[in-house]
Amino acid sequence: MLKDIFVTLSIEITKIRKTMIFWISIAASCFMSFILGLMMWLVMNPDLLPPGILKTKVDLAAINADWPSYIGFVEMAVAALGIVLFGFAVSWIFGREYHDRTVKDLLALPVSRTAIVISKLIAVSLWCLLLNAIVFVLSLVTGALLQLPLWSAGLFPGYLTVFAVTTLLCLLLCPPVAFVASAGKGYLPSIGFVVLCMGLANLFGNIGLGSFFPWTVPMIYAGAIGGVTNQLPIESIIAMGITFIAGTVGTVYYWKYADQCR
Amino acid sequence: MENNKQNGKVIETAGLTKLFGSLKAVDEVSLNVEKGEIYGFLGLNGAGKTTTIRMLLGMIRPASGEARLFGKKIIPGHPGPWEKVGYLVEMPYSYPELTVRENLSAVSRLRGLKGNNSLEKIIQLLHLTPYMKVKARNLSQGNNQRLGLAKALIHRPEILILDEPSNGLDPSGIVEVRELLKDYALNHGVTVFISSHNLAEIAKLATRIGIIHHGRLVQEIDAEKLDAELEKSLFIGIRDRKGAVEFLTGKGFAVNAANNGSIQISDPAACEEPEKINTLLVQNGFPPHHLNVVQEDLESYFLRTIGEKHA
Repeated sequence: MLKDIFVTLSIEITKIRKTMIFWISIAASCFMSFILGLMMWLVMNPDLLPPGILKTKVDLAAINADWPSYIGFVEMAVAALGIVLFGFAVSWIFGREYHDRTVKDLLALPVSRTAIVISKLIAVSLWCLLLNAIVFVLSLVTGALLQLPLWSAGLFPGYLTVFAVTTLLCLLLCPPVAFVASAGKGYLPSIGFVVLCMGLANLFGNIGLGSFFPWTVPMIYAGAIGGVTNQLPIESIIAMGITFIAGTVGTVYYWKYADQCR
Repeated sequence: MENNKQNGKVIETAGLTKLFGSLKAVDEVSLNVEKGEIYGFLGLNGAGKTTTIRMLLGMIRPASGEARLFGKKIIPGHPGPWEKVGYLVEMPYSYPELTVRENLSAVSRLRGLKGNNSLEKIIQLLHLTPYMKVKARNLSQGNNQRLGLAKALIHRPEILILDEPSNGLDPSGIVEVRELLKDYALNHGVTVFISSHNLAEIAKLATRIGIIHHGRLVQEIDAEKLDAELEKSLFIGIRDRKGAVEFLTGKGFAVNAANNGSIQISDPAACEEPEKINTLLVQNGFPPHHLNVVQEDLESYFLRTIGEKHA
């Protein structure tokens, strides 16, 4: 099984590297870092903005132009945008096999279908980790370039921990998206699923049940909903665990046992 | 398994049935293919060919019945003898952003092949060398088909299951693939299961033919006996057509007026010895100006077969 996973993982990585969407996702991560830096620069220079929507947005953000505020701002953005960006990536990896009708070439091989699904999930995790690593490094570079005040060495471990946990929470949400992309036989249903979950995440967050809804949990943890907590209540851990396991088992089960007519 | 080794059956289905809702896509199909045979699986679009092939490959689960390859029951999601099976289902699709070589390299690694020997050989065999570095999305339909065949053949399988492999190939490509498959079967003992809707093409390749219609296997026939199954007709060009029809009907022949202005007799005796009909007509004042024995073409035979069985 491990050998199968290693072989299929290397093929998945080749497939990802060769797609235009991979490079677009990297560009999106860089762009996201640029926008976060720009927002912070505008917070530092509020007089440069003419009255309008952008100025209102910056004012509403109500953050200070310093390192702790900037880090918190990046963490919130990573939680919200990470769910969407990761969702798109996993939709692509699983959905494209159905959309491009290449899935049939993966179904009667000496390599098990379980190994294929697991290697796809690992490949998408590596892809997403790379995207967030880019955001993390660029956020530090941008903060340094902006010469934000209140930096201290003690900030870094906390930032790294919250960033890593937020990334992990977003990754745990990938398997259900993989299931929808497989059962929906393409990436559009799963992208729709991600958008729906984001809508529900806001709803559950606003009515105080966010800690029970997996797609709200990363945003609660990172402080994008309900103030900064950086904590995971037990119900959130259970909800995330169930979501990850159910998504993974469901996807493996679908690939192994469902009729494959594409 | 022991029994399978003795009788040499490498592909078997028994009562294979698949339902899609209320539609019976495959209905109690039982067939056997021996080692080294080329089995032509013939049917119209929607007859159940691809569904049968998908069940043989463990891609869909039968509602009842079973499929076996090398005596091993095929169960979706369970290990099968896939290292010995090459396949092409419907139109071949490859990863569009990968080149021909990269697509084949991926299949080679998934098949557990070591080194690049198999890869180089199959590229040469399918004449894909000029396209090695071309992305699959930029291939013509014919070359895409060749790439699909290359993926099916790269590991030198013992069973080849091919769904309409001639689709998109030009006439020389069709002949080339036909000769290739014959070579695999005759000289290397590869068992070939090939589906098509074209009997003329299948008749040139297969050693045995199964005809499927509305999900049912309506006929199986050895290809060498196919000729005997084809109906023959004697077409007679004659000036007094009405008189000749009455005369020959009176002599007990089943006679029809053909569309081309001649008369048609389908009696085997008349087709075997047309000179006797000629003599009979001349002696009775109906001299023919033209006689022609025409054998039913394969397309007509196929349509007649499914028409009869369906009725």
